Amino acid sequence: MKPTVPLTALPELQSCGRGALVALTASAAMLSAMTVQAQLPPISQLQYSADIGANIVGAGQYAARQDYVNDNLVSNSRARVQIPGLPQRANLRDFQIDKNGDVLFALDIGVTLGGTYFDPADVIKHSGAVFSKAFDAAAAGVPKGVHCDGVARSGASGVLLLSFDTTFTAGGITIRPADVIAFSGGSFGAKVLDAKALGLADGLNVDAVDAISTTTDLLVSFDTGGNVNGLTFTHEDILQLHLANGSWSKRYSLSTFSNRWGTAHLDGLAATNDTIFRDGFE
Amino acid sequence: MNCMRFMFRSLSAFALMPLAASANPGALEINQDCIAVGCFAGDTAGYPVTITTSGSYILTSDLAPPGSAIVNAMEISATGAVDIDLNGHTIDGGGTCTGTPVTGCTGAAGYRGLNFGSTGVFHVHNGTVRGFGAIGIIFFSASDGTVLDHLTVTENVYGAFIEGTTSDATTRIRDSQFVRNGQEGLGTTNKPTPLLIENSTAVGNGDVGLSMNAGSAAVGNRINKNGGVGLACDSGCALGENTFSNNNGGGANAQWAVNTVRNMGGNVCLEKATCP
Repeated sequence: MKPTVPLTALPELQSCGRGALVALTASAAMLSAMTVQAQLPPISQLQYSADIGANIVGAGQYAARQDYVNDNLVSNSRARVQIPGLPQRANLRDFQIDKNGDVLFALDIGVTLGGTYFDPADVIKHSGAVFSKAFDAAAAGVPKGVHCDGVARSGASGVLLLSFDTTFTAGGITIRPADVIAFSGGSFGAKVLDAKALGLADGLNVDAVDAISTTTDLLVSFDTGGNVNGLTFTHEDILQLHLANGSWSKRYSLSTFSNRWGTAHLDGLAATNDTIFRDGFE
Repeated sequence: MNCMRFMFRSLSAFALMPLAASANPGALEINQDCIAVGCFAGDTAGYPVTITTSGSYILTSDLAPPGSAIVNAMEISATGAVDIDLNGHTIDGGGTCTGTPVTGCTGAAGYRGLNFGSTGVFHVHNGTVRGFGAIGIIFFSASDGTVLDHLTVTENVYGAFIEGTTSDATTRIRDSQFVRNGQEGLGTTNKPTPLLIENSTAVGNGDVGLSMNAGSAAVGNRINKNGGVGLACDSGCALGENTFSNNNGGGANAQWAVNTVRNMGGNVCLEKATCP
């Protein structure tokens, strides 16, 4: 089994001898038992961002809070990814990476990019060197003061899936911080994650979400620790929700990726579904 | 690198890792990890953190300058308004002081904690500056409206020194502690700089607790067990509802040294029947 923590990120361990490796292996096994329950669909690359700048790429390898990390789980390598043009005072909240390389994301503050002002509730699309609105919050009826903190796409290229940090009502739909709701054709649609229907605690807020290019599952992170259906989690854990039966499992615990995740909060998430490369054509 | 060194380094790094999520949206971030690469435009890798543009800044971890060099932790050369939110964190110069009042300080790696070399309206708040070999916080040209609040300044050789732009440029200090610094807890430089010090404490400093220029006011402070007088003022200063105790050797010794007291009333010297 592949170690949870890439050894390339901790070269010092390579000189620590057999004892350390035994301890590491035991720890990895324990952590795996605790954290990895659902393994499908397989994920080849995980992208994530934090709410503060920290060495989450590896020892001494920094990523600012407007960056994300591309973690290749197959090759055990990580890289800092900077979206060109983002101001240093902005925090990248959640993001979605489309198949064509476009990045859709939300920020914690209002910014002007390429001459266009983007509200913290908007979803910004970065395509080539151009910024545009992938989701216009004001046009959709999102009140001022609400921030978008969850951006994903249903399936490989389906509708936007969004989450917000404050409860509000738009188009007769009450949208709560732990909801994930579809948006297409200029209006909100069905809730993919209905916090109330699933019995989630009122204080929970989804602050990172991805659909792993499926319509069957969601990867979700909350901005605090908590419990869903008996599953205890922290703010840096990535949970998986199987939409057909509403069952939860813990997919990743980023505290096993870097000790910085003990204090940095995961607030952005995307994933590459490995099954698109395992469909019989390779 | 052997395992013990690796484990020690890892534990040391853990102590300095970013500790708190960002509050204050839009502020530029400063933490121990980003210092290694430069935290923002105008700041090069390593200490000191250099602030060259006005705006809001926030610490998201404790800071500790390395032990091998005498450096300032932060140097501010930006003009205009600069807000530094320590966000509950400590800027630690590594030194310690002994005794109460302090009789000596040793071991500092950092020279000055926050060095404000430019002219501006500054706001420093919500954290601790400790252990610096020269001064915890120093302003060379603070404009009217500069504020320090909710700070603990401790175990520096000098606590904080404030020099304003003009004799009318008041710096306000409130809800802060100047505790067990080697010399003065809070002082002013030669330029006339009035201070308004409110609801703060000056305790156990090696020399004068609070040192003010003419036109300053001190209201509602506790000034206790400093090696020199608790409060000094070269000329007319207003005092009200301050409590003095055990300064300057205690007993019947003078608790304050003010040429002309503008008495607002309510001052108490716990060991003496009369007080300014």
